[in-house]
Amino acid sequence: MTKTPSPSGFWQRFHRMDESKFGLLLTLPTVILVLIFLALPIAYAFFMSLNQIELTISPDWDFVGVENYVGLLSDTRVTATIPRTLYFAGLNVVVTTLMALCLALVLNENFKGRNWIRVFILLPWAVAPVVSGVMWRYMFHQSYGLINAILSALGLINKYVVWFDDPTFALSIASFATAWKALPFSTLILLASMQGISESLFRASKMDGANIFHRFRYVTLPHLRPTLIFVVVLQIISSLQAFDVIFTLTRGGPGQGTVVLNYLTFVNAFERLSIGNASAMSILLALLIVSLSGLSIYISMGRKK
Amino acid sequence: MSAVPYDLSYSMRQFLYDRVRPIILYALAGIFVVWTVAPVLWIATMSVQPEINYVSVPPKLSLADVSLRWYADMLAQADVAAALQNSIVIAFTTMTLCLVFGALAAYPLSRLQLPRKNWFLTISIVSRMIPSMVLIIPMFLIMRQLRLLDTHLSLIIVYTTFLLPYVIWMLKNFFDQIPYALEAAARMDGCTRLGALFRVMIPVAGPGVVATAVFAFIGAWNEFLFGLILSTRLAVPITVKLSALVSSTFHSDTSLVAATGMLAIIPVVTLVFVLNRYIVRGLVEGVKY
Repeated sequence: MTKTPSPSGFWQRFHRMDESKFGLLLTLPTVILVLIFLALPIAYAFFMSLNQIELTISPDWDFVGVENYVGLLSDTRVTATIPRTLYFAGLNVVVTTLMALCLALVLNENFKGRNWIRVFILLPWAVAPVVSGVMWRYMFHQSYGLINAILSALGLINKYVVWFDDPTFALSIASFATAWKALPFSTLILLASMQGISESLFRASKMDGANIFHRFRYVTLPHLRPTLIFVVVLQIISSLQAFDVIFTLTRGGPGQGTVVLNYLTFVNAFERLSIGNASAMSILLALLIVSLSGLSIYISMGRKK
Repeated sequence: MSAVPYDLSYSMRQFLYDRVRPIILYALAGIFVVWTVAPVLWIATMSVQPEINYVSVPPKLSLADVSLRWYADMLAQADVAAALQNSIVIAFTTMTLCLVFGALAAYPLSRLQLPRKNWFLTISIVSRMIPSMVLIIPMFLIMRQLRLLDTHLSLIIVYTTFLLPYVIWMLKNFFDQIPYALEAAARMDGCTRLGALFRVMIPVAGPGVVATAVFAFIGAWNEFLFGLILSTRLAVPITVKLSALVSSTFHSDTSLVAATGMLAIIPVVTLVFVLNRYIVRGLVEGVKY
């Protein structure tokens, strides 16, 4: 171990500094970064949301107060995204949660090759959302999609279907692509929670004559409830933030078919250059997400017990 | 709970357990593996076959046609090679900064008396929730003001700031698990406080630190929105390059796009396969509050 360096003034003071000052000093780099590149931009975004900024018309900022926020309510482009976002989020929640629960139950059993499967199912977590958009685009592509090839090989379709021409299909595929990416993480936290169930509960219920379904219904499920809710809230949050996948999968098409809330914010900001309007949308979105996240943390605090 | 009468004979139950249970388990596991692997495998197949093979109905995939020339073509293109290089530089630097700043901040949060510690913890949780869409316009303006648009540095700063709250949280949870006595012993032997952090805490939390590092690297590598807006030509990361290729009408050969997609995931997928044990633990640790 090193001795305290020779008493050159600075180091000596550094090593004798009292604990709280020393602690604050260590957090300083992070605090500076967070203040300049997180707190400042948020304040900036909030300020812009109070101004009318239409860069396609003029570079001027007009202070309009909460007008942008009020305007969102009557903006049909905004209200049209709400059912889409709800459908997208709902499908994502259902698919992810059910699959993750089922997969976690499978991986919780002892069987040969389980560890290999655990490694394989981690794969989508590592794949960038942008790439997963590309992958699902090619899975369902009208002229070289694997899904079309399989369906026609099975004789279920006569000719290749142009999936992305149908808004419901397109939105569903976007949702699948998001769920595909979310599966590993959701499975892992469900699995971690499952492994916290004590073996004695299962043994006791077996003694009472409970079969596998009873055990799931009365032992596993109640124990998992907080984690399941956590997974659901997490998927709602990630659906509200959906952007990358849609950008490479459909670019919002067909028409406006896959323009969900967050995607519209991007379009308004960087294609229509309605900066004030986009800022107001993003601030509302952030508030929604922060409150939902707060909820999910509240739930997972309860999970610890 | 209602008692269920034993209506199955012992041998019947044994049969179900020995024969039927594995069938169900392997069938389900198989379905999940197919669901997980199919999209990756399809794009991988497309990336080593000429387009004509998978465009024909039904697809005529042939082993004889397998070739890596689309990868070679893409890597020979200066902009794609540069994008890969950008992603490596940005992700690696972000990871390093995240670990250094993260460890420095996580240590007092886990170990020291800090005034208003709860504030720090709350702020670090809240910063994780901020969606990037709310930051992107101001960030563009700030970076333009700092004359940092289209530089590695701008993306490194943004990613580091964005990932630090996660990194701090993960490291804090790992540090919390280290017995206090280890550190006390080192301090007794004359180790300084910083020495205790770098010579005791970090090595002992080794696997956790690896998990955190991989998490930061992948987070930076996979990011898209900031890359799209803050870079135009010189600092373009591979995710942005890929999205440009997908929507461009110039390329005639889809195999090239597929190969680029593979190039964009090969480094991170390799990391995950090699270090999967650490990663699983790190992920679970990151959402413990």
